[in-house]
Order: sequence, then structure tokens, then C-alpha cells
Amino acid sequence: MMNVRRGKWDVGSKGKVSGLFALLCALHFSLFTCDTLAQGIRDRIRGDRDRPTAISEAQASELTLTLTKVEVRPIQVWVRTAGTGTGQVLRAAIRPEDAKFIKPDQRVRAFPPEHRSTMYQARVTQIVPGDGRAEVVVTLVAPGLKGSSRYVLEIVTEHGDLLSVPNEAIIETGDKRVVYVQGSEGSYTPREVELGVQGELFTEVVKGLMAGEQVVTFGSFFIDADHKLKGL
Amino acid sequence: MRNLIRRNIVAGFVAAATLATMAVGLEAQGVKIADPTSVVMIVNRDSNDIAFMDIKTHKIVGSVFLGNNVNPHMVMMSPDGRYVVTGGTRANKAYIIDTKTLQLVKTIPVDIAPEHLAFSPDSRWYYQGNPDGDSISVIDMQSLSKIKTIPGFVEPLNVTFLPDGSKAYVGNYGAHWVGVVDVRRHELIKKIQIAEVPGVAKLDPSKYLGEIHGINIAMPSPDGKYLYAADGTLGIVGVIDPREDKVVKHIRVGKDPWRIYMGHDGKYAITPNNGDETISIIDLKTNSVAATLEAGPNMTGVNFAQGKAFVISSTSGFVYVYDMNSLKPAGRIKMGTNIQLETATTDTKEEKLYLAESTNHEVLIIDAKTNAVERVGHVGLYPWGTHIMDSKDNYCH
Repeated sequence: MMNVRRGKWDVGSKGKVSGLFALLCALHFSLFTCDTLAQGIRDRIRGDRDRPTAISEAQASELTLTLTKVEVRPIQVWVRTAGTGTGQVLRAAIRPEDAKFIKPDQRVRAFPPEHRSTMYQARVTQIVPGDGRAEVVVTLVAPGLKGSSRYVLEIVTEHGDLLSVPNEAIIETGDKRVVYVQGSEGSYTPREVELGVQGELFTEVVKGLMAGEQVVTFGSFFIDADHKLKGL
Repeated sequence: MRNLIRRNIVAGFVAAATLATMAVGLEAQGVKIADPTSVVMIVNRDSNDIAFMDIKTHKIVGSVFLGNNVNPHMVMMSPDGRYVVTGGTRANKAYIIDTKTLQLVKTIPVDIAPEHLAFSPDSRWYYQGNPDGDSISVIDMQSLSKIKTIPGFVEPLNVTFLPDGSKAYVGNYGAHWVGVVDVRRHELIKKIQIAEVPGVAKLDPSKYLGEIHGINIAMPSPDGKYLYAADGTLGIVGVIDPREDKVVKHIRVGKDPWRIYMGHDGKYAITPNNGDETISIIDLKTNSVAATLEAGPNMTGVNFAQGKAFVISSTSGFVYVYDMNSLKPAGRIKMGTNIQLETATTDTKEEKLYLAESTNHEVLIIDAKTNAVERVGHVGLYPWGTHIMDSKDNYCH
């Protein structure tokens, strides 16, 4: 048993050289082959990103596949911050870039942390600009929760009408943002997009899409997975 | 001095012109409601429309006709203020209205007899209950399309979401369980039995099926720690812990509780008990009945304002008032004779109640402080319910 095991290595010096040569050759071959193979798998996984993936009607139903039109629509950004104060007046810090979109008398939703399912309506009474940090003063329209001086504030800011897609349509792959665009019936092509303002439900598209195109929202992740699995 | 006056006059003209231009601009863009919090929405069952009444002037500023034989049931505004939605009970459709322009932007076929509805806290999902279809239609508010119908309910009446939007709870009026829906997958994942059903119903369920007064709604407590579900037939309120989705306590209340209504301060909740014409006031700290008080027949709603509870007795023409500090009756307000009171909403200042009255096609505005009543007529035919954005008392029958 020992002899058999040693057999391959238990040779003379000439044999040792030739053995070493054979080992190096084998190692080189295996590395080369592995590299080629690995490249092949990666290529297969990455595939041709521009080719569409086809989804059957049954799959679409299973995935509850939903399409939404790329169109110009109002984008809302919900500014969330922590407000503190006494009585009905609360103060909160906000980013100066958010302050630009907050208007006096604007509606604010206030939630005491201890009463998470109760919402108190408030209004913006003042916006105090500042370098690096701005402040917003809000007033609850009715007396707040007794004994509570802290509130989570939600301020819905309007960023205007912009060409946009639902947030759910966007897939982040590395530093790229991709959406799946409907081509012919049942086929979807990935397309890289450049994004602008990110709202609560919709995100502005600066580049990569045109108004009227249909993008996949609910189910885009599954299509992406399918696209990669098929190696398209 | 003269220059200063002239300058002021010029500045005044410029400001007026700017305001006028802005107003014209808004009108040109078709903006009818600039501030979604400025209106009371009225759902008119027989004129098949949603009317919008200005809160300050009490004037109807617009209405949206939905179509013939629609019979809208409940109206609600999305938390972001962008859309107003309703379910058309006879048309088996959901209707989506753009708040700013008051344009009917989408009509979506749902299941049979859509009535009550709810939005997920982020305005993303609109769950439409279909009591006769025993299902919930899931409407995606991004694509404005129905993405799923969740089956398996028994006369689903009301849907409530957890504050984090992860789960929704469905009251089944034709059964004694609350359905738990996973909002990520839109699937019914659990049935929480509120209590054991009476033995007689077990022996012959078909005989008693039509007589079940089950669960109208599973209402979250203001702190979001528990949900409370009143069961009409069993005369109890089940307290559900949403962490485990288990009933942790039973509270016996009066006969045939319609549903539970949460007080705004988180101290008390009320069940109007139509079986014995009483109300049960539940202490939310101890989860026990703090008081049982006499009330009226056929109660359809409870509103809270100014430290009082206002209980609507639909067929008697009275609104019963209770002091929520002393937990004692504080009189009743006569709204009229031979009238049918429906449901009401409370404004966000908690000063006034807006009560739909269907016989005379009017909305009755109750001053919560003085109990004085103002009538606003000609709001549409058969006003069925009212809704104000961010109100803590937005409900339906």
C-alpha cells in the first residue's frame, strides 16, 4: 500500500526533474484552464446585457409583474426629522437643501415616539436658514400628547414635475442604476439610467429613458435574476 | 414722503398682480384644491359622486362624478395627499381621483361589493376590502393598477396597517377571526381566532353563518402595542399582541358591540353595543371595562373632541355625548326627527365634527365645545360618510 502511494514520487534524480517539470506543466495547464473556465462562467453570467429577457404570461402572473409608464409627474420628498419643544411649538434641525423646499404654513405630520399609530397634524410656522444646518419651527394644530415633548416630524416637500420612474423599478448593480424596459410583448431589456431627485415613491430620470416607455416595477428583481440566470 | 407713498402703492400693485397671476396660473394648470387639508370629503351614495367642502367657508368647492350606479361607500385620501380613492359597491370598481385637479384618473375593476379601504402608511398600497367577494384587492399606487387579489376572508370589513407598514389586519364580519396579511408578499399568513365560538354554531355552522356578527375591525391602540377587535356575536373584545399575533386578553363588553373606537389620548376606547343600547368604555392601561353607560339604538360611530365622546345613534336622530374625564353621560344633541344619521369625521383641530345625514342630503357640523349644530344642505344625494385628511376619526359604517 505504501509502495503504491510512494510510487509516483519515489524515483531517481532524473525522474525527480522530469516529475517536477510534469508538475509545473500540470499546474500551468490547470491554472490556464481554470482561468479560461472562470472567464467563461463570468462571461456566461454577465452575458450580453443589452439582449432582452423573455417572461412568459404564466411567469408574469406568478411574479405579479407590474409595469409603469415613464412620465412627468410630481416628485415628493418626505423630510423626516426629530422635533422637540414645549406646548404645541416644536423645533427641528433640517438640511439646508431640504429647507429650500419647505414653505410656511405647510402641513407636517407629527408622531410621538410612544404613540406610533397616532398622528398629530402640524403646520410650519418658521424656517430659520443656517450654514450647514437649518431649523424648522412647527406648531401642532391641536394640543399634542400629554407629557410628550418629542415628535418624529414628516414634511412632504414638492420638487416639481419631473420625468420619473417608481423607486421600485431601479436596480442598483455596483455603481450602476438599471431599469428593465418593456420591448416587444413579454420581453424586457435592462437599461442603464442616470438619476436625479429621489422621492418617496418616484425618482427623477435624467438620462436613459424617454416618456411613454414602460418599465418593470413590481417584479423587476425577479426579471433581473432571470436575466442573469439565463446568461443573456 | 410722497416718493415713499408712491413706492408703497407701486409695491402694492406689484404684489396684487403677482398674487393674481399665481391664482390664474394655478387655475390654468387645473388646480382646484391646492391644500388637501383644507377640505372635507363627502361620499354621496345616490348621486354617485365625491363632494369636496371647504373647511373654512363650508362651501362645496367641487365634486367628482364617478358614473351611474356606482354607489361609492367610503372615501379616503392617501397619506401623501396626492389621491382620493373610493370603492363603488354596485360597480365592483375602485376609483382614483387626483386631489389637485379633481380629475378621475383611474377606474380599476376589483372584486364584489367593495366597501371599506385603507392605505399603507407610506401611501404605496391601497387595500380595498370586498365583503361579498370575501377578498382584498391590492392596488399599487405607483402604477395605479391592481396587482393582486388576496382571497380567503369572510366578509372583510375593515383593514388596518401597523405603523411600520409591515403587516395589515383584516376584520372579518362573517367570522370570528382577524386575518394577518404580510404586506411585502400581500398574502394572508395567519388567522387569529378571537375566541371560541358558541357550541350551537359549531353544531350547525350553516344555520348560523348568516347571523354572525363577527369582527368589524382590528384597531391598533395609539401606542401601536396592541390591536383591539370587538366580536359582535361573542360580546367580547380580543386584545392582540402584534409581535406574536396572539390574543393576550379578552374583555367582556355589552351585547353585540359594533366595533371599537380609539380615544385620541390613548387612555380609553369605546365599543357601542347595539344589542343592549349601551357603550362600554375600556381602560387601555388595564385592558378592562372602566364604565358601561346607556346610549341609543343603532349606533354607527364614535368621535372624540374637546374631552368628550360623541356617539351617533343613526335612527334616533340623537348624538349621545360623554365626558371622557369623569366617564359620565354629558347629555345628547338632537339632530332632527325622522332622519338617518350616518358617520362623521373630526377636524384636526378637534373642534368640529362633520356628520353625514342621508335623509335630507346634508352635513351636520357639530361644535364640540358648545354642541351647537350648523347644517350644510345640498351636498349631494344620500351622503354616506365624511373624511378629512389626517383626522383621527376617519371611519365608515
